[in-house]
Amino acid sequence: MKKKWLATVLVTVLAASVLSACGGSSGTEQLNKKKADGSGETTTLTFWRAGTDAQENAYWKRVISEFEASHPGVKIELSEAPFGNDMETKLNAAYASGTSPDVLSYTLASVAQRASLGQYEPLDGYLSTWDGRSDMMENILDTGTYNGSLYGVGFIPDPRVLLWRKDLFKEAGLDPEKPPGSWEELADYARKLTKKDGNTTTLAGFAIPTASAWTLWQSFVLQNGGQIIDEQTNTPLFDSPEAIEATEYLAELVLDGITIPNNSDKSNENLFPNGKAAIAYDSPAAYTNLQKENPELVGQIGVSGPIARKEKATFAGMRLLFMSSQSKNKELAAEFIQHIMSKEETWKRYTELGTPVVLKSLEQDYIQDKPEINQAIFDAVSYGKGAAKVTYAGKLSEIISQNLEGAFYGKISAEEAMKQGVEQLNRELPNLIGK
Amino acid sequence: MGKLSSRNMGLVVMSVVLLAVSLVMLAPFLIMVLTSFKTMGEIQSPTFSLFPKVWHFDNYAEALSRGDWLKYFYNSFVVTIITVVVSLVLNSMAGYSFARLKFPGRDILFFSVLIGIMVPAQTTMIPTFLMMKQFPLAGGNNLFGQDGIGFINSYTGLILPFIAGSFGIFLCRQFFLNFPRALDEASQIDGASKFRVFYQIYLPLSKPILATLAIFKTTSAWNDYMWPLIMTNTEGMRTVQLGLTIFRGETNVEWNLLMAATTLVVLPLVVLFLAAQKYFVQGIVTTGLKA
Repeated sequence: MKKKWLATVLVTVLAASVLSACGGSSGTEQLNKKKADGSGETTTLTFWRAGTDAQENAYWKRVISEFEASHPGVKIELSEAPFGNDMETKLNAAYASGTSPDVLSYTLASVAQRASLGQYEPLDGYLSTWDGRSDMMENILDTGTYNGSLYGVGFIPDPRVLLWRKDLFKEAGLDPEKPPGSWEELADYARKLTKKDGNTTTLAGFAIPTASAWTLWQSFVLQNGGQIIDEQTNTPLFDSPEAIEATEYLAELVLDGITIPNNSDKSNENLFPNGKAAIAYDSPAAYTNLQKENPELVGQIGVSGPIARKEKATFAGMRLLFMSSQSKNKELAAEFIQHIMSKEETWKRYTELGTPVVLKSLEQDYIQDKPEINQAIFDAVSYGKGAAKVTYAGKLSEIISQNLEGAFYGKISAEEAMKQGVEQLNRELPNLIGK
Repeated sequence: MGKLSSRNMGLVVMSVVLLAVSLVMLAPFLIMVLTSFKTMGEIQSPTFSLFPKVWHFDNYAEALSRGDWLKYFYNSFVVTIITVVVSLVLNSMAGYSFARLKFPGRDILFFSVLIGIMVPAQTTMIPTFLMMKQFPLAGGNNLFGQDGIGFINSYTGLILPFIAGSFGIFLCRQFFLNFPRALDEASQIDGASKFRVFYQIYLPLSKPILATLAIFKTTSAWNDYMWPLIMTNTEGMRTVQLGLTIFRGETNVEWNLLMAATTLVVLPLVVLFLAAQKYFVQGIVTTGLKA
């Protein structure tokens, strides 16, 4: 009996080893082996994207199948990882082992960090003969440029537009077709729209994140004519009178209780798409998601560009296409990037995913398709600004958000918060730049 | 009588405390299951309700239709079963050797194994990844581990780093230390070889520790997320934990579908724990492991 038991274990181990070896072989072959067939060699291009949602997955499968159909002998392997630390770890391991993807769809925050490490390939040479380059919006090209070279091609912008709930405006006696036109009006509207149960805010008049608030804060600082940092000299500029005034403005609203505490990094806490705010600077996706989950709100959400003060400004996230400097198929990788950026593909991306266009030639078509929201979105894309292109963008936003939190909870004044933040960053800069 | 009453009272208090602790432990699972039947509108509603207003059983069908879940489950089962079986063999043999055999350098070797418990997995992740990529003669590599991709995107790459481990060896050693020396001496007198003593005498008595280790190993292999994330690149190699990410967008999470899929993903572990609970408790007691 015991011998039988032992035999079972040994057979299982043996089978396991064989199975394991087989799995290894087939999996490996799937990845990037070139194989000969009747028509010649198959070239495999690896393409990774940040994001794992099913809708965009379907989009990429369609793009890849069309590209493969028009390029016989080419196979594209798609791999996905969630945004944030997951993708960072996966990329770090891949670059360390020389297995990074030929083409990568990733964030603006990675431009300075990975370009400075030599992980991204400068694209100027590969795209110099590409006609579509002159059709791209200037600020989009500028977004992917670092130290004078183009490293990334922006293709999915995520600008913040002003969203407001017309039904709640009516309820509060405000004109539902007239969004706030100045900071003062925004504060006035926000106070009128806020609903409280005792000291607890149940409806935010204006959605201000109390944690990780730097993106909204950046929009206000830039609108007020301020700057965040001098990217060339690494000089923090967010203790300027303009930045302090913007911080004071937001802190006062938070202390008045016009918002509900929330962290902008946690999507489930986002107030506007969850029906917990009357006005917000948010992504166009918030407009779509709120109506999708609450059909009774269709036609009840207004969209406009950000409020002008000294400057027209808003925050705009951006996803870009990068080429790895380790790629062995750079010409083909550039061709794939150009295919994704073509006019036809840009329009299909808009129709399938709702992503704003980044080509000047599509401006009119885009605006006419949904004039009620697309004009505002296009404007926001054209002057939106994302995270600073510095290698320490993560630390910069962390320091700003931490100090904003102090001001929002009344622990320190807005002026102290900004000055303290600049001091902290200046203390850390020698180590951060050295990395 | 008074003594009995106070003892009963103690039992009642202990039962109430344990019940409360059990409820706290069960609450996240309960919320997970109940959320899996809600709509997103209900989940995002400003007012929280524990039970769904309408039970949406179709969330499960919707969640399963989003990805190739048969493949994800198959991959997870293959990786978990092989990892557990091979690691039980290797860890029990190593644990037996450290506990019952005398050989030069044994204590130093065991000490170096213990160091392995103290090193966080995150610090060894990239070096291990490089070893898997540069494994000689694997995945197109030459003898020096160059030119190919080694074990990247393969079952071997998912299994190999986890088939032996400091914790498993330590656990088995502690268990095998409990046996009397006379058992070895009697076997030697009868002429049994060291290996025979291991598999004919010690192994049949080791069900509790093997069940305990199997549960630990199954849980860690089944739940592992980061290693499959960096080691695999194609949809066909995804494990269930990677499959769960398809419900996460850049700005939103489909919580109802995510919770439905998560409920299905944890089911095999629940079944395993219930089946091996008796041995698991024995194993914890005999090795002195306590939370």
